[in-house]
Amino acid sequence: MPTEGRFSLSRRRFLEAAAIAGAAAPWVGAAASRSLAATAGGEKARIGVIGVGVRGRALILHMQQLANTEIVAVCDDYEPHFERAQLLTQGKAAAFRDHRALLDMEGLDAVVIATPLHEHARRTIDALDAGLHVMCEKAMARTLDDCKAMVDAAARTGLILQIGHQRLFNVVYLNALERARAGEIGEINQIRAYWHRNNDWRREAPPGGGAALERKLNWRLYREYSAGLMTELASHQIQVANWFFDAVPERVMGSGSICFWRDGREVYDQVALIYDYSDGRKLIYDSFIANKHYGLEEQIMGHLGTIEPEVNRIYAENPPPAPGILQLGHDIRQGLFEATPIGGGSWTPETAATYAGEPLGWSQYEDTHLQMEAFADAVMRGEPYPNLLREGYHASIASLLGEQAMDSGQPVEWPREHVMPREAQLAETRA
Amino acid sequence: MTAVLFHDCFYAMGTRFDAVLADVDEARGRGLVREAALRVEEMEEALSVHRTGSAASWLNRRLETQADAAIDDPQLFGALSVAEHARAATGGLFTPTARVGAPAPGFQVDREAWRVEVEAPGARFDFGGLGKGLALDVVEPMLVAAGVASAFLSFGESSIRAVGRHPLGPHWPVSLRHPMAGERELTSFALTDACLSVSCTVRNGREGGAVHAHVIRASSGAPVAGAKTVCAVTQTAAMGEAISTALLAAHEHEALAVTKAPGMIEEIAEWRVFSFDDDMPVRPAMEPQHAD
Repeated sequence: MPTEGRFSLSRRRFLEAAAIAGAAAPWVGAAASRSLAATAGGEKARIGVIGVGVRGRALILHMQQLANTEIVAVCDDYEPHFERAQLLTQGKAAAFRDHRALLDMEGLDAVVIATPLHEHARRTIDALDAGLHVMCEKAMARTLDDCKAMVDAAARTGLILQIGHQRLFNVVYLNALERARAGEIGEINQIRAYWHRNNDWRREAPPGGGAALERKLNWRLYREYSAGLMTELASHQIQVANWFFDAVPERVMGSGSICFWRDGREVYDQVALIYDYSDGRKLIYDSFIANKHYGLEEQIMGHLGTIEPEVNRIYAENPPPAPGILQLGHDIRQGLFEATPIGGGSWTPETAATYAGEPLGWSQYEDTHLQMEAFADAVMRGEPYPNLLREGYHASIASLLGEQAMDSGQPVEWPREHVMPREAQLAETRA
Repeated sequence: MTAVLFHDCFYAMGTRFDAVLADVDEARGRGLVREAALRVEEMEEALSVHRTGSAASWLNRRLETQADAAIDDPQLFGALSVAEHARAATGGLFTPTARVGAPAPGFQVDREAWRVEVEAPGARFDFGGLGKGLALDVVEPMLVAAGVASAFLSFGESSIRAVGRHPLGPHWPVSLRHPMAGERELTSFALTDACLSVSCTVRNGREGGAVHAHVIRASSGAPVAGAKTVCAVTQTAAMGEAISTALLAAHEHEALAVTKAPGMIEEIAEWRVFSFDDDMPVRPAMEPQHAD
């Protein structure tokens, strides 16, 4: 967890990003204009957390450090999680085993939903109908219809529905987006993204719990509850692609398999997809959990340069002459004891392998912290951030369509009813 | 050949910070450079007069109408203390209160009460001439405490800190390029646990026929004219910056006085001044000097 001092720096860099984010990230400007840190009156959003597993507990720890948030209720129907939630909140938050009982509680402003994916829709809609704002972890829901129902409920109630895509509050990504929009890497026609891990994703169930408990704890491995890699990992990176392309895909094709973890799971342990966007642009995506060498990245490729936000790097296609300091590293690696030239560029890298690019900017982000603070701020003001839900909605739809494409072995077109207009377009329509 | 080397950079204080760390692998190196970047950012957040919310900007606003102020920011207090020492050590040739068109006002730091007092309201502090040095003086001990024994830290190639020795030799060899003929060497240094500060007025903002100087003579407020390069090898990077700036503004007799002042002999290992004009590429203002 960040210290207050370090988080203050992150917040200030985030607010500076608002000045440059513009239409590409209008929620940033909105958050800045409302002054995230202006909680001089000591107002706090009173939050209930539904689902206190690994992610829910992490969100609680983040929110406990925020000045504008108070966790007043927790809920989980799995006893060990229920007990840990009470410990985490030192017994100060009301504890429930049924989310409907939590929603009936007086004095709540909003809920954070961090349950397994298949429970997101019901709990979100119930919360909205109870008059509570909602922050729901990504992906939105298990089915396209459920995603749509959540969006419709938010529109119907006029309440805030925010989805947990923290890169939308990540200063490195915002800097990268600004530089891409400024044309620094030219015309972006391909994004290549991947997420590789090397573990079975399986959580150990207590002995004697039976098959039902095993499925409950390992919901990410079963199709009834999750689309596996697509909803749990890919949705983050598809959101980034949509953001940088400023578009939703027109179609997707793909292939998935269970190639290594043949342990009774139902979801793929390897996925490979191509998302087609307008004008020939493509997102090439894969996720694989039997090798972690390459980790994760989004490689945003324009004709003038490349951005890799996960490692905080931007690369020019034609690098400028490097500072003499780069020659120092090269010489040492070659076993050369040579003087380091300073005071003028004197060495040009010969190959891409020796060109390490440039940092994108301030890299000490605390995006989840910023995201939760921004949510609480929106709750207290009763106003959602413009176009933010749209990003989460399209990322979720894309991940589910990818699953359909892999299962059918056929390209899947993006359904028109699942394109969410921008705020400006909605305003024009109303006018 | 050294087995392991890590190099990374980040941008801060308007320039690029490079860290070359010997015998440090990538995972450890990324963590160390990340920590360095954080500390530099914290310092810039406090000292930059280009950030309206910084402690330095707050101080300057207060001094617009008052002649003294209480200081509660540790970074600002530290910078003021170093600046006061540097001003005294350089006979006033370096001061963060230098301003164009008028003599620089003096100031005093009360280190017990954490207050600063200036000669008159309207004084303004600018730590741009010290910031990179202060940052290097914070980063170096952090790296050493983390077990780094050999490193080359460069802040914009004008403020350099050599930690230990070169992994392949007895010192870190540095070659300063000629400011008017970059393919030529102007001078060279052998650094071991030392700082090198380079200040230069060559091409000092000659735009549209007007001269824009970034170095001011504190006693008069006049911009330093003439093309010069000054190099100072010192114990600490902040003092190195102050001394190289002071020598840039100094007349010859002043420079000799500064470098032989009490305390400076310990601080300055060597210093060199080069003067240029349009006809002669190199005309040393004085012979390279080494501390006694």
